[in-house]
Amino acid sequence: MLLNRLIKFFCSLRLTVACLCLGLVLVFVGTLAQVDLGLYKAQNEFFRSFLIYWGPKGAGWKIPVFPGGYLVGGLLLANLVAAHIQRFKFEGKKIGLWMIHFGLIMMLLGQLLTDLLAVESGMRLRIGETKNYSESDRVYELAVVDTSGKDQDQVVSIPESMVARGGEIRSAALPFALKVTKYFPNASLRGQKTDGFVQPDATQGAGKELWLKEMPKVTVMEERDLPSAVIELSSPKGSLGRWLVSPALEPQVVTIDQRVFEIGLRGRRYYKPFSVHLDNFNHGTYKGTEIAMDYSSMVHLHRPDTGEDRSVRIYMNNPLRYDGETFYQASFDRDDKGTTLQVVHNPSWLTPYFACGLVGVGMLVQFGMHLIGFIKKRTVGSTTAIAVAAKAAATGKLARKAS
Amino acid sequence: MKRPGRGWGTLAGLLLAAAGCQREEIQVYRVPKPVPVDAAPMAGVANGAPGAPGMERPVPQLGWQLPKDWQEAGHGEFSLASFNVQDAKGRKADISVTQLGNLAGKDALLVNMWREQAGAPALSDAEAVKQMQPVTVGAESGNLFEVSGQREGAAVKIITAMVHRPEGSWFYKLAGEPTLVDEQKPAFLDFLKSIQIRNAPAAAAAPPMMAGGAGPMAGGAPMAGGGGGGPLPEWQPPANWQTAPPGQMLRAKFVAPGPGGTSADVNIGSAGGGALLNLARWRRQLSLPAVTDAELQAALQPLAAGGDKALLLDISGTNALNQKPARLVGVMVSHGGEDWYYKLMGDGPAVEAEKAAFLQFVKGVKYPHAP
Repeated sequence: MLLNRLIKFFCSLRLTVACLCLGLVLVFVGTLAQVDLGLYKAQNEFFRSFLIYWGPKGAGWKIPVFPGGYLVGGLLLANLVAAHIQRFKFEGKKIGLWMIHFGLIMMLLGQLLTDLLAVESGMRLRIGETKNYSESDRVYELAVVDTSGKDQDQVVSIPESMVARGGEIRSAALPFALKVTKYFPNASLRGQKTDGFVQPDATQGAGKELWLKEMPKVTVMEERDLPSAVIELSSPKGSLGRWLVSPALEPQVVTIDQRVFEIGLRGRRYYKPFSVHLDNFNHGTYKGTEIAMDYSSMVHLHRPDTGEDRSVRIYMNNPLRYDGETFYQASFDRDDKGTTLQVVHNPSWLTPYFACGLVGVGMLVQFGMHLIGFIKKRTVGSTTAIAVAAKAAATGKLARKAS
Repeated sequence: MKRPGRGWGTLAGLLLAAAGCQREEIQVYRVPKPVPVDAAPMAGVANGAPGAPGMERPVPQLGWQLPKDWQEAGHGEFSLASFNVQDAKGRKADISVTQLGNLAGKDALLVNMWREQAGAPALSDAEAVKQMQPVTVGAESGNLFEVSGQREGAAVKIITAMVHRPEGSWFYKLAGEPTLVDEQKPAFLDFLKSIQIRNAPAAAAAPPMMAGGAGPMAGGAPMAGGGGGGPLPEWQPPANWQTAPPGQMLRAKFVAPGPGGTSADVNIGSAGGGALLNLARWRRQLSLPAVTDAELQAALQPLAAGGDKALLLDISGTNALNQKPARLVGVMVSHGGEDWYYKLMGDGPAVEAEKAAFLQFVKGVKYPHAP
């Protein structure tokens, strides 16, 4: 009984209308919120959430006040799928409707998959430099790198979210435990004593010589948070000391049991099975002006496992698509000797194209079928009318003749 | 009722997939050893300067005294430096420093350009020029004008100071909530007086190194290896050294030519990171394995540098950037609570030939506010 009611709820057309209305409000409010919160925070709070929370300024609590993007989108998707299963029968004359609905489902699913699976990062290269990884400029990781190996390093990557939770972090790959004693989502560091800055309680490494000030999280797109944390390392013999880690600092060396580790908070790295070498960077301007005309990076792509080795020119609106990733020309160094490529990995990048195509074709088919039916009806109707009129006329003539 | 379970299964599957994908865990993996690179200029959309590809351009270096409550905000698309200030009431104002081509003689046009930005009506040329008041920027005289108006529906006030120099016109702008702009005006005028420009290139140059060194990062943290703002020390580089644009983390850079077409770079940085970290970084630049702090300290030799405490490191290895043999002579000087890092690095013969001149150069540096 309950199941039937739930199914009825999910199949309801009212739910569709309610979700579409909520979606409209959400997009409107979420777009306005970007003014104060910035693009990324507003996206996370309004669209990449099940519920939107609100609390008075300064209060330590928040209550859910509105459904978030995941909830509205998820309900709409469930509603569409459930209604489809429940109501629609596959018939030739409804094939257009089927295509439209599948297109919409594909669009919603594609967006969900993009949200879950897409990764954006950057690859900054100086001329002559080679890299086989890109780095996120918004998502960080605490990297503990065992540099003792001859040809390779072992990396233990701890997500920033785990560092932010605090407490003890252990990995079987490490001979010590890490305890997060302090975490700052955004902090400014100084090399000398400055008003408002405090020493971060580090007993080892660079943090001993630095002053820190916690900063509010940034909301502007052009700015980045610089998180910092104080990490205490402890082996079975006891504490090894506390280190300050921050993306603004170079990795710090810790030697334990004759193994040399480098510890640092850095942009999350995404390693690739190929390397990119920057041969040259060109920055052209319109003749006689300083207005940028063209930025282009000549890179050399090398993939050891396939032997692929070729040169590629990446320039504005002409990215390199390779191995499921797209490399866009994003920025450059101020001395024109380096480039920054934006690297986008989005396994479902084609779904919006397919979805729109499917909806478009579906609409053409559905309306086309209606149009053809209408024309046919009209043609038949006209033929019948002509026949009736002719018959009437003939009957009239005969009648007149008879009289 | 038709196959109710299928829809539920799909929904449950999607939710589970969503929940599973969001979980973050520790990852362990192996990678080839990284190739460290020298500190380099930061990414940014800079105004391009004409010139042959690959031609080095000098980069202006700005020094300033940061007023209380101001926060450094790196450089913007066109600004060489920017700052912001916000009070407890949520009022905000931005400060920016911009260099453009030489616009001397176009003062009326500039005033009206700023008026247009604030939504204020344009003035006649004569009226526009009357808006100018004299102001001191560093050791120079400039002009200042104020504009009030509306921007994006909110009241805004803009105070602009400009100085026309041979290499181009410099603009210093304080803009924001009118009452806050009025309150910050004295601090802005003090800031203008503290401005120091060195090594300014002709017109529309790339943004300079920022004080604090972190560019557009909100944290504004100095990175290991240098950066830092404020005045530069006085030094006398040997005649054969050529000035080169410093990277983001550097205060100055020279190129020293050596025998037989060899060369070496002289990099100078200050602030942040700590001595041992920087020295460890130098070792990595020569592809040398990491060593403990104690081992690093043992490799350092004391050096007398004008009464300051200094340490010398002389190491050879393979340049991690180009895999060629290289030598590095580095000196760390502690002066007045600030660390200065001098690095001579390049081809062995060039470093050998320049080492004496390099050490002489380091010993002869006169630091600002020297006791």
